[in-house]
Amino acid sequence: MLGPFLLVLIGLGVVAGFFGSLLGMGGSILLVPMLILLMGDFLPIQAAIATGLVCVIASSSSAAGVYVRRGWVDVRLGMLLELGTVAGAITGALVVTLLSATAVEVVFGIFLLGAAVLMGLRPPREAEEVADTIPDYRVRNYRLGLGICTLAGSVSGLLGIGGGPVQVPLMYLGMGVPLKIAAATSNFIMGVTAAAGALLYYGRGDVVVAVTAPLVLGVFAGAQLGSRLARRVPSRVVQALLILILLGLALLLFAEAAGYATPGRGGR
Amino acid sequence: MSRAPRGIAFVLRWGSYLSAALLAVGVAWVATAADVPIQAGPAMPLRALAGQLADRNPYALMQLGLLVMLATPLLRLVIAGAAFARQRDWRAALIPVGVLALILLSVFLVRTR
Repeated sequence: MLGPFLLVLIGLGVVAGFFGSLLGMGGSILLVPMLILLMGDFLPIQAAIATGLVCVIASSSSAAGVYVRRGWVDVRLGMLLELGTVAGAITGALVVTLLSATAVEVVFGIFLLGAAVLMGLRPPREAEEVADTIPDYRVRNYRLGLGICTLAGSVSGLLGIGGGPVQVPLMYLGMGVPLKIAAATSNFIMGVTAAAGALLYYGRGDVVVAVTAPLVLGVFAGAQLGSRLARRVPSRVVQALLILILLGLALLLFAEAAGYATPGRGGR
Repeated sequence: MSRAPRGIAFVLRWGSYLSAALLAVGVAWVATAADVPIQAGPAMPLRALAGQLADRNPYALMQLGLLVMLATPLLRLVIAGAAFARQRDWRAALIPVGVLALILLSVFLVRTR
């Protein structure tokens, strides 16, 4: 019986989806490094990245459906920026084949450190714009948006994560889009971006169905749970916890890349 | 709400529900069956999928769920393009078509390499 194995995978997905949803970062930023560190001996790094991308689609699609219905998504802007993110995701998914596992671990570690620093600088959720009404706005800096979204897409295709940490501040601060619209539109964009990358991984045979399916289910469930509890959990506590988790995962990835043994692997 | 966002919302919502349901049934099937071995290799070829579904292979069901999930964002590009074309907003209609073309071209190039 494969019950215990599947339960562990679902549990891993729930943890990643729960914390990712609480912080609005998506579960893959936690899931992919956890897979690399815990299952790296029998799951190739590209399979971990492919799983991360499928999880991004899972968490994006269900939420984006709700946001589109509520009128929070700027569909035209989203589709325009997708030209950049999709081109980037394809590039990232192709570049990963040229890199060694160690190089991907180092890049991922640097990205996690950056995300932890940004998370520390970010104001807690209560202080952000939560107005129900959406002010009139005029989108500006399309070229800047397309350029940075191409970069965000390539990070997504390379590391198997969503581009939210890059796209939301870009639209909000750089393009004049209200925060609520920026967050919902970023979520909308992420699904197509991740699908572009995931299809390339799928075409190369990097998707391991037996591992990806239970993880996606777990992320799906964890994200639902996280979004329900988001208002009840003090955001400062969650923010501090996530910074610690991101720093811990980054250090473990650097240790793994340097050849030291980590929990699920014998080191190199 | 205009027709395009309504269609997009419908596809995203029901696409994710359908894929989650297929994945849940497949995972529950594998978890509870005594005689299903772990299949740790890559996904099976698409041409074999229908036959494996007919043979009641739970991994084929999981794979179908993953394919539905991968196809959902692409379908919303089609819906958006068609809706904008019906409104004769050709500029807006061209963008999802371009995105879709980029994705399909990259998949084609990877598969023929």
